[in-house]
Amino acid sequence: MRGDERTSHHAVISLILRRLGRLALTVMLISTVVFLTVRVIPGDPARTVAGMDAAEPAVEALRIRLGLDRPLWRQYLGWLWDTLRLDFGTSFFSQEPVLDLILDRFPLTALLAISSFLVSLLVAIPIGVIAAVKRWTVWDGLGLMFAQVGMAVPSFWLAILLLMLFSVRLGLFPLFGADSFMHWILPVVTLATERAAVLVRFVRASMVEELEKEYVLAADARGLPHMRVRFSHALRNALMPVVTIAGIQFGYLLGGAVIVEQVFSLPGLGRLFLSAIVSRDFPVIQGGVVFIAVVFSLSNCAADLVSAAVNPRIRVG
Amino acid sequence: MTDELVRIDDVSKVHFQAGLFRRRTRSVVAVQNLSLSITANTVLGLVGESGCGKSTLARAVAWLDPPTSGRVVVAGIDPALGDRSRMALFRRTVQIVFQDPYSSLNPRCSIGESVAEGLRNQGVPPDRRRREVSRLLDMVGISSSRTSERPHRFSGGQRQRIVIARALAVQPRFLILDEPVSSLDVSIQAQMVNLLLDLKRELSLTYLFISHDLNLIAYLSDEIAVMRDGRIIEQAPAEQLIAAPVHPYTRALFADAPVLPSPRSGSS
Repeated sequence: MRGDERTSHHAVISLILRRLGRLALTVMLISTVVFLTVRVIPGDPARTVAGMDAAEPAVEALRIRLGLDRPLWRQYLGWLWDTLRLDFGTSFFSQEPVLDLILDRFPLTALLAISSFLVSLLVAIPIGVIAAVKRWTVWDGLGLMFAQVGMAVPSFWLAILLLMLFSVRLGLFPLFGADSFMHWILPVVTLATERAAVLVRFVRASMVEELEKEYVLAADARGLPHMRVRFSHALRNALMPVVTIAGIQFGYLLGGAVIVEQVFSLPGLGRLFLSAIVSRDFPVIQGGVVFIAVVFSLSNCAADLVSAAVNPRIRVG
Repeated sequence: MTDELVRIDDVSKVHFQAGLFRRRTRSVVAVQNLSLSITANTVLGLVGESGCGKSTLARAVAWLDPPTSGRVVVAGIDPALGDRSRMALFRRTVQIVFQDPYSSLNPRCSIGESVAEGLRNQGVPPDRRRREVSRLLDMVGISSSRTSERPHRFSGGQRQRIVIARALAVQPRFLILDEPVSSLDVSIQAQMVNLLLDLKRELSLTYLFISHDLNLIAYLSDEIAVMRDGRIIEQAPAEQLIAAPVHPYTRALFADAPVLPSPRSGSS
């Protein structure tokens, strides 16, 4: 047993190290792509900052001040070096440090993503499990229908629909802002619906697979209570692959938040990045993408660690 | 019929291919009007090619996937009558061992927990349960010092022994063995088969032993039934069926696989 314990600690540490290595590589690649992309798409930040009717010499001076006159490779190396030192530069417009801008808005987006994540799990696991246990019945059909519709409906449209019905028509929820609990309900519902729809399918498939395994049949054959077999035996094993999927889903929530924050006027990361893209605020776009990539990778890594922790082959004991 | 323990009477099993909202589109008859009778304390070997409906029959007889029509009666208990206590009694009387020892054990439970669960369900108190688990594991040749270990630390053969101990925990009289050794190495197969024969003698069990391996069937069966396309095409005492198969399909089966002389012939 002691040997086992040591191996499992080694496995976890090497998993973390490998993941961190991959994280560095991912961030490096993504940042390069983004760096090039923002410079390829049309639009001149110096012109935007200076204003449309500024004189050309003034714009040129600004370009030099922002460092946009340098050759591309020097801009890139300079930015890379700064990023490595966790210096994301300052916004072209507000002159505030990019990191401050991001950290300022991150709590709201994180809260939105985490609460939507929890809600989607709370919805998806029961629906998926019921669909699997009651396979080929009306319950299963309804569960699958929820998954189908939830995935097919674009979240911005659902958001607008919910706003029109519950806020405009019925007046149950406020229209925009993030000042109270009530403000959170519609954005969370919007974000959670899409994620839950995807998760339902995973939970159902995983549970169906588990229910067909012979240890479940054998437990039934020994006359163990039907529901205990389903919930204490099958469900716990079925949720293992779901943990990994849920971790990846969490990353998608950050992406989904961009749209939802826009519709519900929530001052989060999404709105910051969207306005940065519109105004060609290079440092904010680049810093934002790196930040999201890191959060995304870390959440995947966390999911891997959690699934390793619940895996009976690795778990100590 | 003297000492009949198991009676399978005109059993059919039809698989329906269900669509969304249970739209029945196509059906496949896996077992068709099949009748069998098994004498207490004997082994009925059921042989047939893969896909002939052997496993479907096994699950139907164990009432895990009840037959579409027909009756199964084991030790006078008919599970179709469907009251709770009768069903519980049937579950205690009939146990099943599957082919794949890897998916047969819950990876999350220690082997002791797996074996003990049937006992706990019958209300056996914890200290007696522990003793009983050690005794059962001992009986199948697994060291009782390993009760707290999880299945992944055991080999396929060991797992199959644990599965047998788990089935024996509820003190069954009839064991359905659905290809119990097919996924094991040949050297381990022999040990397992001998273990099964020993257990049968010690606990006066009755087996329905399902296999596609004629040698194995010939070695441990008292009676052999040959199954094809969901039906029994020939059934006879083992020596008689091996010596003089009547049905052309049986003859073809035996022609493909030369059968070694059984060490049991002459003894019974």
